[in-house]
Amino acid sequence: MSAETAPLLSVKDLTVSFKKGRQVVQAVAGISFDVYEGETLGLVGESGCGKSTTGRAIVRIEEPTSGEVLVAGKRLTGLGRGELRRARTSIQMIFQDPVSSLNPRRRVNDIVAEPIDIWKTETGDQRAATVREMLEAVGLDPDVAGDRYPREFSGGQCQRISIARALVMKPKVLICDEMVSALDVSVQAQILNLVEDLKAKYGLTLVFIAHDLAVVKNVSDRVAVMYLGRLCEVAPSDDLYALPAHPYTQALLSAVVEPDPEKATSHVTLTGEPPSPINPPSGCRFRTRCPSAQERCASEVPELREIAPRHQVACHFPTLRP
Amino acid sequence: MSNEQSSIAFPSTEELSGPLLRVKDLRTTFSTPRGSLTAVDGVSFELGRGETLGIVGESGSGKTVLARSVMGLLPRSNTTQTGSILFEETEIVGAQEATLREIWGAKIAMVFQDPMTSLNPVVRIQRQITESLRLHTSMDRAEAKATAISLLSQVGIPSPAERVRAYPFQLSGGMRQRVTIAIALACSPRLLLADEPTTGLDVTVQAQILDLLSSLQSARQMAVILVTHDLGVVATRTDRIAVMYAGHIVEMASTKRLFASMAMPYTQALLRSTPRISQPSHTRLIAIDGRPPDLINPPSGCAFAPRCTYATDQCRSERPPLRTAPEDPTHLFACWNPLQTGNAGSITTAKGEN
Amino acid sequence: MAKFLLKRLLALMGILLLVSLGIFMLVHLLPGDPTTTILGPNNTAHNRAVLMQQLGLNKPIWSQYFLWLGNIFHGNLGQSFITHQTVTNTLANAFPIDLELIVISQVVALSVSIPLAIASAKKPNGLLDRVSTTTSFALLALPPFIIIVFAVLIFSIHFHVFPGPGSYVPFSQDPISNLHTMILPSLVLAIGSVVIYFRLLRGDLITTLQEEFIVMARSKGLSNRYIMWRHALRPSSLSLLAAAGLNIGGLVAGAFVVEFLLAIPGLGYALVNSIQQVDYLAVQGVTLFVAVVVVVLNFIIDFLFTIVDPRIARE
Repeated sequence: MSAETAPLLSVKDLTVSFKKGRQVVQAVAGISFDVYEGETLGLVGESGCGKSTTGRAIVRIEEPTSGEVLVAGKRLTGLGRGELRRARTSIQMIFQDPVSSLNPRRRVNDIVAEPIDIWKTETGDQRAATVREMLEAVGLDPDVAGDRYPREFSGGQCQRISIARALVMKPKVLICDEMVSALDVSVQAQILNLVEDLKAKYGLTLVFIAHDLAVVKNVSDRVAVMYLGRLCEVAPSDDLYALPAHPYTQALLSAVVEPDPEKATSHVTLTGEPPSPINPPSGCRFRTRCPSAQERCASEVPELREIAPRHQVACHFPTLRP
Repeated sequence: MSNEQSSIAFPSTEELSGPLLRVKDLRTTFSTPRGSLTAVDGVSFELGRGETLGIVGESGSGKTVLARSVMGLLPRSNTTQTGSILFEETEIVGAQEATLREIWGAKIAMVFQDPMTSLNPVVRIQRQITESLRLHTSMDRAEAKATAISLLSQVGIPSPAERVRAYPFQLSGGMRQRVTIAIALACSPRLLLADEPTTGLDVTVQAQILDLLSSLQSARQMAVILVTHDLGVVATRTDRIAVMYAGHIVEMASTKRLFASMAMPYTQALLRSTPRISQPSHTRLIAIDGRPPDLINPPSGCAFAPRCTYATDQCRSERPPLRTAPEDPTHLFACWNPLQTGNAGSITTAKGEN
Repeated sequence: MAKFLLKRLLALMGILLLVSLGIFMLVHLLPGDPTTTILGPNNTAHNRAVLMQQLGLNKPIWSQYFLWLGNIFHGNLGQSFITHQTVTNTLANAFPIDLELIVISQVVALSVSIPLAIASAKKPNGLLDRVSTTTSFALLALPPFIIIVFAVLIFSIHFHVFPGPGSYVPFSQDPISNLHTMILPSLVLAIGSVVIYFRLLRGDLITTLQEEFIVMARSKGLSNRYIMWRHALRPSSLSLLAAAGLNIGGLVAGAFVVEFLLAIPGLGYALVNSIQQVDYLAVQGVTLFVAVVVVVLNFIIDFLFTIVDPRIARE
């Protein structure tokens, strides 16, 4: 994780644009970040900020408009179809809705073995042994679960099955997109703990995308905050939550509700809602809702810069630590 | 704005005596192809005028069914209800639909979870607000429209005079939820049932909506039942909290008391499994193993016993009744081995650990 | 909204142009020679050539097409070789009859199917719902030309409730007997529509009535009748509207068959006669007119979609 080692996953100036009628929506507007081996990078932001699109563009489910994605120094962007498929075995994605992301007509054993069958890496007993190992690793009993269909499982169990499928090819990087948002609190905790255990066991590197700030803090080593297609702030989790420098991060954190009646309810609540990504504000994209916006914010795009060790912020007037 | 408000009758202080709502041994059962499912199983509570009660539970705990039962809103074709729900002077259980329709919208109103599905997509905002005004008050078309605009501005919608002509799809998610709140408030109900009103919303919008609800609630002396899965949502915005599990209220206390000295292991487990921003990152969550019981074949003893770390044989065989805490008669819990007494010393509350 | 309609209107023009070309080509592929029909089989080749020239049939086919198209824009659809009536005149006489048939049948179809669908959807699998669903399923299997034959046999020939074939009286002459003759064919035409409209609307209403916004409407204290008509019906009528659009073509064809079988001098009757006589200008004119009517009605339906569901116009 130290600065000398090369990052395992590197995203460089990534942009993703969609056409909406005649208009172009820039869902991701030039973001760059690195994720180091064994690290979990949390990606938070409100709906429409581009965090999910970023995740999908990394695994190229969504085609990036420009920019580069490198995994272990190898470019993922620009690969042909066959090469991309091979490369995808080292980077896997887990989605929000565990039930609809599993084929309802296949048995759990076959769902988990699907990547093996595609690559024909293993057959017969070896394949069965790998599937058993994966199901056990995610806390399912292979003897009970293996021959059943996804509909016989609860949401939390389905999410375990999709984790098993994602891990069966022993990927290096796992992109988790809102993977616990659809689950109940008690089940969510089970899955979050499971993710932590699996990360340690298999030496995984994670990009954990979610809207829930508490969930992201819990699993992440570093957290990146997104707003309207750009990164606002990237910092080690505890730093970011203790000393947020970007006004948007501050606003987000102040709006979090905590299960604690002693916590004061006064908020720096943001007024209004994010502007449309079709016609984003000039300069800093947050300036239209920012309590401390000044003229410079309209004319000049703030670049992500380091204000403390490993703490980067894209703001002309960040709150600096005392 | 002030003259529109004067046309709506606020309850005067003389009326504000005795509880607004008395629910007694309410049982709501659905008939399903697999058998009958008791979603709400013997629930009793009272709600004072202007009081805010949080109902917390996970999916399948019966919290939404309870809210809809209180209103008498469940379809009768596959539902049976026993017990009693006394709203002011009216018995809701078994009431004629015509009787209920006079209360619905006028005295009890509901805010639903997802404004995308709870607003009619092909009807303008204006009519969705004015139709209950026209029904329950003597307002004419113009007065109802003026009131609708005033309501939209009260719930914080910019340029309400134009927005009132909009269709729901022309508004953002947060704005839509404000509209459903405006609809619910139209006839100044005495009781507002808010069922997961902020679940699909972003954190900043959630904060805005919750603040809006509590300011409207205190301004209008309206009782609120806030149904949610999120202990954070109810922690600072309710007077009392009822925790539900498998169709039962398993613990109920004033909000302060509940968080300070919870007695029910389930409440504690729920709290401990919730990640918080005040905890350092990578704090190990204390998850609850297993999953809620099947309500078609519920376990014989305490419904939480199979997942409870403190469960004893008694827990598994005998259902614990709801009883009061010795130090605080308003604190109720249903547990044979409550945290404070049976496990005192060995167990501290989650708060104490921080 | 205006932009949406303009777009649709432009598309409509394009469609009509294509349709006119298609009809023109198709009619010119009809077997038979109009000069033989007009002059009789035993005339000289010279006379035929002269007639060909008079009718412009010796010109290249594309110039014939543009000549025809140009004339249409001046309101001139040509003149029948046989009856020497202008095609416009034929249309003016025959079209109101079809319009009457179709309008009556659709009014009947909607006023039966909507209340029936509402009543059935209130209690899915109730007695009324089961009876009407089963009956409609049975009727779906019967095409109008079978039903009309039995209807005439039963009601006209056996019971003498309605006049039989060939007893058409123009509306302007005697409105009562006109309606008396038109009721049976209209009802027969309506049956097919009722079945389709009922089944679609019933299904969509059942789905809509389970939506959260219906629970919300109930929670306002609104009456069930109000909820049904003001909240449920509109979002449930999209399939019905789409089916009505698709149904128009079939309805016109059905009307033609019924007219032909009952000798009602509508467009169908006129068209069949013109085809038999290789009266190609009349065939062309009538077919084009019918095509225009169908296309315009579909345009109106598209417009109705945007009224029923305002989201459609903005996509």
